[in-house]
Amino acid sequence: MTVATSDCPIRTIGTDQGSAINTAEDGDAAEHLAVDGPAPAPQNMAAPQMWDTWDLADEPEPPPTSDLRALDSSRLQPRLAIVPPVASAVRTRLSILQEFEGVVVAVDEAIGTFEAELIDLTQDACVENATFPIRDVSPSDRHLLSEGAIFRWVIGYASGRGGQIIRQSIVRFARLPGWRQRDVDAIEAAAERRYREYVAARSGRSERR
Amino acid sequence: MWPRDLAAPNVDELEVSLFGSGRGEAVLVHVGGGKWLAVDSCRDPESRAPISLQYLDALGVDVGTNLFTVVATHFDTDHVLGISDIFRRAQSACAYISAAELEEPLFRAMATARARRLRIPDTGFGEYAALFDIVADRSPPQARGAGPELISAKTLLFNRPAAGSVPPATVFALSPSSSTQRLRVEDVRSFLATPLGQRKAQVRQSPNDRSVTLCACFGALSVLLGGDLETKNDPSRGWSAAVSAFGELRLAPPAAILKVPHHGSANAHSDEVWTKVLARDPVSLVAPFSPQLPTASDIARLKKLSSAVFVCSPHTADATLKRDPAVERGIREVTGRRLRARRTRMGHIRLRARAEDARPTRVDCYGAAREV
Repeated sequence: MTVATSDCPIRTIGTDQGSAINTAEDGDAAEHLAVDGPAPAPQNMAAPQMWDTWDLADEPEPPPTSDLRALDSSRLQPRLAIVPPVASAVRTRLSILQEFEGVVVAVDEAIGTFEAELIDLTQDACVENATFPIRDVSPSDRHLLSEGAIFRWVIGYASGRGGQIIRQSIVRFARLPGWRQRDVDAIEAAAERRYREYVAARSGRSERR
Repeated sequence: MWPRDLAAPNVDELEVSLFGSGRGEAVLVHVGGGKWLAVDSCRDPESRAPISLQYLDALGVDVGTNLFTVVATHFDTDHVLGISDIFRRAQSACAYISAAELEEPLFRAMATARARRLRIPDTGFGEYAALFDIVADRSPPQARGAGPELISAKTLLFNRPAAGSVPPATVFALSPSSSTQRLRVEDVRSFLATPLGQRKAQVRQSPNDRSVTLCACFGALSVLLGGDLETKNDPSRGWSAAVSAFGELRLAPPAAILKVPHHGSANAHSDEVWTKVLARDPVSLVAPFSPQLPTASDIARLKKLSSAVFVCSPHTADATLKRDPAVERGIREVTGRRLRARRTRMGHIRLRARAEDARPTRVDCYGAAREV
């Protein structure tokens, strides 16, 4: 399985030689950092299933550099002709070595960490505990960081176009893009209906007694 | 976990079984005559099936006819996971939940749990929603919405006079008291659905003074099942109120077996319980909540007050799993250290006694359970 990482918080934690080369503030993450104040809620997101955003295998590949060179340069903005559009580490695919599903059990803003319980999705179902730096959470996900929040943590190897192998860690919080106000209204209506039925049945039961 | 020659208790025998995995607990009580009471539920970490059902099946008990009551003390996940599976199998049983929890916000949390399909962890709200569904399926149309029966202090769950060799037995609830603060929206708000919200697990715990506690009397023996009830400054709530209920019900004899409340924590200790409800030197059974409870001082306190203390699943050193070296390096670079895998090993403490015995005469420990 491969995942595209174009909109994920990325922590590049080492090359295949194990040396750290950069941090989470790369590529798209840097774009999010440029937004003032809290990250905006995903108002315009499509409605994929919870984890569908991980499998973007059908996303069109960016054209290789040689194709860019072949384009009519008069139709290109100068910056596009000069540099790749996004840092190469971002426009890569990730071969997953390890996947965890996590639940946030405590957040310590003062220290800048959060505690989580992790279920190993790769090899075993045992529960493990870990402390994460909050900075490993993408700014676009920070508003989701709270007690009970569910996230996925992926460690894998990304291979760049030049064949560079980079070990990466991605923390991504679950969203409910399919839930809109009408969905919440439906849940509340169902709860209200069940509560009314409960009250009616209870009063009927006590009358029969 | 159990030997092949596991035998069910005799009709004139009391059995109290406490199961615990370190993050979940369940109790079974045989009140004589082949009848069983199930209090709370937890899943076997390996099979994911409710451990109580596995044990009853191993004994050859007909769950459909002989499990007469299923009680959820409160909706915390370490107490109720799998309880709907038990109730579904117990065709003739009555399900009970805490009266302090059954309020309008609970319906909102149940509807939210139903709308979410969380893989981990399961939720107490989801279990409660399933209990409601099962009750609806078994009820006549006009009573379909009634849900499980409610328990509050002094609720009688079981009463059987002596019949032949089968001794008399009664089971009463001692909590929650009528003064217990009932479930509020604030208690479940972090779990409820919001527009553009996110999937969330049930992390926050229900206030423990809403927990059900039970006292089962069987001939000359009584058992106190402490749930997660804690002490409160307010004498009309928590253990003070439960002790008052015990006195008003004139229950006798004092309990010689204690399912220690709230994993042995200091804030669940009440001197009144030990002087007014329990017999001298009772046998104490503890289901830990690893790795926090019980602490060493909790165990020392319990040992001082009890003739024996048994623990279902004692804390063990955290394990570290073997992974690809590249993954290990990645984990260390993010978290600063290796991950600690929480070992969840199921343990089972079983006490048996005859009606004429003043104390349990036989204790068996299975799996991780042991005396401390």
